[in-house]
Amino acid sequence: MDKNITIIHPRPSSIVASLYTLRDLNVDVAVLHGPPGCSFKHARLLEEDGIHVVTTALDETGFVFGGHDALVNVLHKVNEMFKPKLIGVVGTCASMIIGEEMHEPVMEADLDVPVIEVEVHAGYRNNTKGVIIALESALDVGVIDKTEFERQRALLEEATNVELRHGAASREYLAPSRGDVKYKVAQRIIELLKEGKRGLVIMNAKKETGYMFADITVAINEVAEQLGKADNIVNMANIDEKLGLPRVRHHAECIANDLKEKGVIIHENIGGLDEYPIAGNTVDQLIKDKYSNFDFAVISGIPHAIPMDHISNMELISVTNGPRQVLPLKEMGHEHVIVEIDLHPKTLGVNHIVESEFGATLREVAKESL
Amino acid sequence: MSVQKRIAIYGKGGIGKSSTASNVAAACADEGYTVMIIGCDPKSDSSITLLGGKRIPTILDLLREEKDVKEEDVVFTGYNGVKCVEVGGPEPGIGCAGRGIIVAIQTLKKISKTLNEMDLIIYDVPGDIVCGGFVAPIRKGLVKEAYVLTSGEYMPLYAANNICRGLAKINTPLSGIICNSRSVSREKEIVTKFASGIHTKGTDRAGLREGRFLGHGKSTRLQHCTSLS
Repeated sequence: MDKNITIIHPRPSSIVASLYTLRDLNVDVAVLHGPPGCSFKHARLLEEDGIHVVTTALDETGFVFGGHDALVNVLHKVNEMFKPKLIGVVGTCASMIIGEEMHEPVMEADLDVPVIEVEVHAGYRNNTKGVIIALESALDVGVIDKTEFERQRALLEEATNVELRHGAASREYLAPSRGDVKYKVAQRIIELLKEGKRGLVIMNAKKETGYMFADITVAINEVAEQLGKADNIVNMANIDEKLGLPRVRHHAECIANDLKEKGVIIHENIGGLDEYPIAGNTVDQLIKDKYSNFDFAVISGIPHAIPMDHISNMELISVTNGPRQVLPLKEMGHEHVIVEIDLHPKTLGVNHIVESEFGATLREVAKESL
Repeated sequence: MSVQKRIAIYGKGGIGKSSTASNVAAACADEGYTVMIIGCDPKSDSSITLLGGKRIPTILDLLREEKDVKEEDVVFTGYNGVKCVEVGGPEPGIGCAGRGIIVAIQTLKKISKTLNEMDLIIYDVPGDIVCGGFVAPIRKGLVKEAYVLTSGEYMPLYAANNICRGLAKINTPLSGIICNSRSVSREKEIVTKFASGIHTKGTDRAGLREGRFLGHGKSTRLQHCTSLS
């Protein structure tokens, strides 16, 4: 693993990472201080998740003469328009390169609302830097405490390591792939269940993506139940409702409630929804202690964070939402890798489990084979 | 019309670039050449002496007001017909003066007919080459050669050396070092040595008037002026 490689495929930037962090901190408005169009796609998605994202829309004149006044004006405008309780201001490449300073305009705007100032650009090697800068600023204004900050920082460091080891940052270029055919993988799972094989269903999801990955857990349990093999399945999921930033804890609560309602028992709760970088170690230990003789494992979310030490003798089926994750997972030894395309947009702004393509396929294939 | 001469004058801040540029412009105008001076310093005072102490509206000021900038709004006639333009820019410490030069130069290129009619165009570029914007006139193909102004003191020479390195990096012909004497001991010798060390020629401002290059004794008034004819 070469930590100094230059990754040339597209990846989310630190600016986007900051925006998502502000969302998890429950800001009502995020102001992008920079050119119009910067981070548009994610800004738009975040609007679906219930936060207002606006821009100071710096143009050539703004680049040359600075955007101080533009930022003050936008802060006044959003305060009037949205009556927010918490505001975030996020830097962009353009505003940071010309040396824009955010604190002064925020002070000048003199709002009766806390403002998290995130001086970030997209030029960091690891986009988790954007999360850390946002959290540092949230700590400064008292939105989070020191303990939560340190916890988040440790998780982010580990998240970066996971991506460097087996993720999208593991090599210079990774081609996107749609993975294996869902229909065939669904058939294989049904075959394994019919043969009486014992399987682990592990959801190691990153925050709100859990709304869709949980559906895979539900689908497999439904099918196992229909085949009379429910006892052959052990479920693990990172849905601890007491861990994480406010919005993340809320997601865990919603997913746990839905699973309960659908009659799915989570035998092992492996951590919070933001603990995907470290939950793999818990899974590894559990398998070593209790489940090492299982025949197969379906791992959804961030499957590459689960160490191979005690699962390499199992038939591995992984479900990712990263088209660039297919090759690294295959290389790790996962026999079947399927991709839930466009998962993220469908899991924003929801409070309940969302149907996955693989879950739907599995249910349909099961109908035919029963 | 002779081949248009387009030069840029660089050098440490305060070393005398603007007064040298203005004097060269005036001298060339006196000899009958058509000359334009384009001040790229946000202070916008490059051409002030040619305009009898008057300040003129800058390109960036007008762009900031979102006006449809026309040539007559930004090109003014000064001493003996010298055309004067000021790029303008932000207050110190705010925004990006380098980007300002790029935007202003692009605007001027688009709107100015006079630009193409001049025998000599002098770009007076501020300070050191601290970012890409400061070499925009060169990068945008508007300048063909550069002169660097220095004295015999340590810091101006240090800045001049940095500028020369920057110019070499973008393959810009360095036409010479101009010494603006500050009465430092052995100044002529030091600057001549520096010039020969970087394989170019040197002159002093007296030399500009007398028409000779340091150490070369060329009987030319000024290299770029002579080659106009």
